[in-house]
Amino acid sequence: MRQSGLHFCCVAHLGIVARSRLREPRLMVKIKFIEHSGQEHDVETNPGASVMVAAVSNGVPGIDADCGGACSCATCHVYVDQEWLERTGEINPTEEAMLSLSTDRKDNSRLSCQIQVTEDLDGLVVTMPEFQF
Amino acid sequence: MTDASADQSKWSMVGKDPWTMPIEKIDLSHPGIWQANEFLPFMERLRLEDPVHYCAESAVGPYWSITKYKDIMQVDTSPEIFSSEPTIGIVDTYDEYTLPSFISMDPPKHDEQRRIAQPVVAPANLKRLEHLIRQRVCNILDELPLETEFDWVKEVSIELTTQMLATLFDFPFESRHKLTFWSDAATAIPGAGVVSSNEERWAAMEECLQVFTGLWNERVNAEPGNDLVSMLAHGEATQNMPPMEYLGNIILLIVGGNDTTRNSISGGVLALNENPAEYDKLRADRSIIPNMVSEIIRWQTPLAYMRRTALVDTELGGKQIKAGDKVVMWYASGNRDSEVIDRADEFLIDRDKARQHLSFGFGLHRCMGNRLAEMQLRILWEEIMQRFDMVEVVGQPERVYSSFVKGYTHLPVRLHGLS
Repeated sequence: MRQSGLHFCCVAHLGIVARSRLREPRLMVKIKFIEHSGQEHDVETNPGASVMVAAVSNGVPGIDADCGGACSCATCHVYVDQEWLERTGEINPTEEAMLSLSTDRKDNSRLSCQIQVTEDLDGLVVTMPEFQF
Repeated sequence: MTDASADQSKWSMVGKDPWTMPIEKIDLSHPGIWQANEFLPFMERLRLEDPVHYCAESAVGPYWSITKYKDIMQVDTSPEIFSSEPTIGIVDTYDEYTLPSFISMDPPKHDEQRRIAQPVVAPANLKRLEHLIRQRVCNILDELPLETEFDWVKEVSIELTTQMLATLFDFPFESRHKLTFWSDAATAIPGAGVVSSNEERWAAMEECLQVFTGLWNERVNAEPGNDLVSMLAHGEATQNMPPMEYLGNIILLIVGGNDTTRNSISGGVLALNENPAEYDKLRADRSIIPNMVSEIIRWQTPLAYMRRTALVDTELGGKQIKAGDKVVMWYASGNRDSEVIDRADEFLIDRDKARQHLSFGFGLHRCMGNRLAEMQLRILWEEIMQRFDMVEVVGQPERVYSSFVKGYTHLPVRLHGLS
């Protein structure tokens, strides 16, 4: 009797979850990573993690991420296409400190571990530098 | 091996039981256990039982030992709390021996100076050096005897890194052994085989300054070149630097590129010999070499620690650190922290996330020469695998008497050719 009660609660819970999922469909975000050579990699990823994680977990070459995303190595450096740059958000002070020491820094440089993937960034295009350093 | 000087032996931890001795007496700073290769269990105990550990008494005074990966990252990435001034060594420097360089500076001065020196070891420049490095590696390897015992440290590790340094500085090739001597003298404990006193060390530093001042005077009036001296002489932020600062930066770059790479070269040979299944993996698939290079650097951790000084009272791992306290990040320990690194106590040349180790540090001071070091090791192993089925270690390695420089003074080997 307790068992079937528990079973009923589980089913009811699943029902609630299923209904809320139907109400809010999750959009996969598309990101285009372009290697220095011009080779393109199109990735689809869930919002929430960083652009760096999207690259690394999809085997995109050219992003090293030596520190694993802690904004402390500057080896996840990317150039963000101008039309997307503002939408990636503000550079935080720690990121700025690391980027300011980079030998290949440009106006559209970002550390990809500091760009959070949101639905706003669906279609984002970034290019990797020739070297990570 | 005996201790370098008798009056330090009371501090030696050699022979103590890491698991039963009173934990507050554990002192990682004394070189004894590092030379004896007995340091691992002491670090393991601290990670488990007292990760932010205060050592109240030591030959270098009181200090905090930070032994877990995450805490080390925390310290390394908080320069506004944990300063690199006045020194990153565990020994508090005295004024007359102080050699200022950007490794022991905070922003903004650090940033200004690092930006000048960085381009010489940036990957774009390294690409140009690759051919020359490979040539040097091939020349050295081709001269080595087969089936004969020799010292890998002397014939390969030291020789290769010295030649590399001479190239970076455009230093007179036939005098390149002086670079090694000055570098070793800069970090040596007096009495451990390099210099017998601080006075002797200072004399070596004076000579180094004289020679490099000569090079500066040559190059400042010439067209800017790609070597380090030329870059410093022509760089806006560095062209007026005082002689002691110039010497400090030169020493930094020599030391940075000297025994670290040297000890990774030796350490890789030893690690493969101690883990024959890994050597088999390497023989079966040479494309693993770049990944292996990172694992070698993690495994060896050529600089066991970096020291910081707290600028303000702060909390870490539940402990209260006071302004002025000495805080030591033990990279050699963080690199064995299984909370962050999977199977951390195993040497695995094909491990995932091999680049995620602490040997180069993290944050603003992350090793500037990291890609150069990796390139040298990669090229070396590519050429070794073309020539030798095995670099066999045939005797006991001898280690450096230091808790900072983690490396080898002798590594007896015998080479076996490809069949």
